[in-house]
This record gives sequence, C-alpha cells and structure tokens, in this order.
Amino acid sequence: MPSLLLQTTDIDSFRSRSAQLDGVSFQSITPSGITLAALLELACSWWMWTQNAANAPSQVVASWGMHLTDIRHANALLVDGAEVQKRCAPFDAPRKELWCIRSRDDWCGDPATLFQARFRRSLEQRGFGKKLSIALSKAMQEMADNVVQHSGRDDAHPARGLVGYHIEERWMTYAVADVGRGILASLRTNPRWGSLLSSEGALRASICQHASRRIDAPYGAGFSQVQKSLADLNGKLRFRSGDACLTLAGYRDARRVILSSSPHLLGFQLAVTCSLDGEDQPRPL
Amino acid sequence: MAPSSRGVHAAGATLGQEHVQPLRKQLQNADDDIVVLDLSRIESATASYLKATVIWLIQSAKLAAVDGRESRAPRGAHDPVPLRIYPLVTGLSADVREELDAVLPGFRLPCLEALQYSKDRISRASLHGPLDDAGSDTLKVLSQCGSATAASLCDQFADRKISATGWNNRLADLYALRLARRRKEGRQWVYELVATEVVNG
Repeated sequence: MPSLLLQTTDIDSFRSRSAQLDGVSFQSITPSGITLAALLELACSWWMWTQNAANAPSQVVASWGMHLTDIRHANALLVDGAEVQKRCAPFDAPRKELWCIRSRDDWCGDPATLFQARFRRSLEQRGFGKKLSIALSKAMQEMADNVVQHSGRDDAHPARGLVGYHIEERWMTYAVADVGRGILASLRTNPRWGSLLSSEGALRASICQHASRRIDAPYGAGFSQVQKSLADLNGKLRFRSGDACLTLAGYRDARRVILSSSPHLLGFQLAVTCSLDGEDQPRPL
Repeated sequence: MAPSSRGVHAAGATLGQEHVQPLRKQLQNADDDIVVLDLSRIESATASYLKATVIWLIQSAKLAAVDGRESRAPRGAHDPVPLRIYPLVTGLSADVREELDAVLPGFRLPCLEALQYSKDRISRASLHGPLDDAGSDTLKVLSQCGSATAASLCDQFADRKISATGWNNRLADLYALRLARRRKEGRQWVYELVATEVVNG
C-alpha cells in the first residue's frame, strides 16, 4: 500500500476528488505522517463532509485516523471540542499542541493565555531567542484572534476553529483554521470591499493591501504583523479560503506571491512556517 | 496604581475588547473626567490590541465632544460610544510606544501620554500621533497662556492676523481631539490644555 507524508497539496487533491472516491485510490493510502497545515485543513474538510453527510471521504479520513492519532485528535477537537490527547501542563514547552476555539472565551481566557505562553516558551527553548519568539507568538495570537473577530456573523458567535503549532530545533510552523464564512464574505460586509467577487481577490486584498472588514478602520493590521514577525527569515506563508490559495515564500522584500485555486472549503485556513537555517522542507508532526 | 512588573504580550482585538469592557461600564457616567489608562503591565502590544483599547477610548471621547451633531448609533457591540472623558495613556514600554506611534496616524488621532501626574492634575504629557500645523501652533499658544478664550488669543496674538472665529475653530478642534478642556464663562468658552505642559512624543 502506498505510504506518504500528507501535505496540503494532498488534502487539496483529496478534496477535489472526494465526490468520486470510488475511482480513486485514496482508500488504499497509509499515511506515514501529516504536516500541521495539512492536519488542520483535513480537519476542516472532515467537518464539512460530516455536515454534508458525505460518507465516503469521511470513512477514508477515519481510516487514516487509525494510523495517525493526530488526525483523530484534530477531528475530535474541531467537531466535538473533545480533548483526545493529554492536555499540557501550564508551564510546559511542548513540541506540538492544538487548541480549539468555539467562543470568545476560548481565546482570551487564562487557559488560552497559557497556551500562547507555551508556544512562546517552546520557541525560545528551540533556538528562536526571546525577541523573535515574542514576535512570532504575537503574530500567531493575531491570526487566531481573527477566528473570533471575523469567522462568524459577529464576534460573539465565532465559527469553530483550531490553532496549532509544531516546533523543532530552529524550525517552526503554526497554523490556524476555521470553518466559518470565509474571507470573501467577511470582507464584503464592508461596503468598501463590497465589489469583491472572488476569494482570490479577497485574499489578495487582505494580505497584500491590508483590507479590513471594519468600516472605521483604515487598514487591517493582522497580516502585517505576521510578515513583520518573520523579519528577515526565510518563511513560507499559506493562506486559503473558499476556492483560492495565496502563498508567500522567500525572504522579506523578495517574498513571492503565488495565487492558485484550491478545491472549495469553508472558512479560512493559514499556516506560517520558517526555519532559522533557511531550510523549507515540510516536516511531519 | 502601576503594577511593579511588565510581562503581558497583548495581542488581538478580542483581548483588548475584554480589557476595556469594565472601563466602559465605569466611564459611561463620566462628567468631563480626565482618564489615564495605565499600560505599565503591557510589555508589548499589537496594533489590533491598541485599536481595541487606546484608539477606542480616544474615539469614544471624541464622539462625546461633537455634542451629538455627528454621533450615530454604534453598529457593533465594540464600536466607540460617547464618553465624556479626556483620555491619556501612561506606563508605555518602548515597544508599546513604537506600536502606538505606528497606529495613530492611520486614524488621524493624537494621543497624550501622561509623564507626570497626580490625582488632581496632569503636570506633564507628551504628544503622540499626528496634529496639523494649526493644531500644533494652538497647542503651543495655549500652553503659554494657561487658559484662554478665542477673543483673548485674538487680542494677545494680533500680529498673527487670525480672526476670533479662526481662533475659536482652532480651539474647538483641540477640544474635539480631547487635548484641551473648556468651560463656559458668560458667553465665552474658556479653554485650557489637559496637561499643564505638553512636549512632543
């Protein structure tokens, strides 16, 4: 049976063919591992399929979950808010961790503050230095806060979301994903961006032009914070929403913008990866 | 009272909204009070956090200053609401100050940082954010005079060839930005700066 490291491109591919799974060999795949970004996008896909009673892809994901506990954990966390894995102690510095957002309190209460501190501590302990660790954790906090602020019809009713990080020595990635209204619907609530017609346009407006759904705000600050946090590091940033994906790769001023299509998925998903040594190979959780 | 150590890395609008929520309740019946927002526990902050706290406070104060002429019902639960206050900030770390200086121009708002203050008065403050030439000039003039009316400035600075109406507009602008307070004496408004001395931040 083929075995592979599941990445976001595989999840895209799986989603695009999920409607005709009979003719596809996804059932026979035994995943050897999964990246954090792929894990969160798979969890969002799984949530969408369970909502639509799409049994065939759900069964494939369930079978993958037999091999990889991370898949089971993420799905259970997003769908039921269930903690499958042992929760970290307040002052740990774990290599990887997932967090679920289902309400405002889930992101601004004390447990969430401790999760954010663990992320910062993990970065510091794995070679990122205090200043950079703070910058990266603030950026992650901003991105996760967007789930509360923008994914639902208002900030009192956010959509479900997941936040996760995976840190190795001098390498890190964090990801945020939700199953909410997506960036296009969110931005279009601001008349200034009401003429946007595509998720691709909405991604470009948000990330490259700092568009905000807030009518009184001159600009959105969150995505600038992410770019600022990476400073001169070699980073890869993936943002996807609706049927579009925007990737930024490389070093600060020379970071390339690549827009592509991505099979439809609810909400907004992002992943930020960087290495202090410039290496950009995907790593399994 | 300022806590003894920093340590909070404040990020996100949600946290900011939670932090101002009790303040909002406390200030809804304020009556032209000076309010100093102590950020001394905040080691670093993101723009979103500062928008939800400092900018929200200044915008709320500004709303009260327009006497209902331009006020409108808030669209969302966290939109500014009219608060009759004169807001200042204090206890800024270098990181927070830098972020605040980056945020204020986008909103075209100035902000005073209280440097020396007691329960009764702000003796020294520094000005952050944009203020146009006329505003800066009027601020300087008012700082020299202590308190003034449009008519008194017109007389005292006759060489500037600014009419009483001109001075009145300038002073009203400082009031709207919550940099100057005013009280009615007879038929005239008497203006004075929120802080006795204002330096550039």
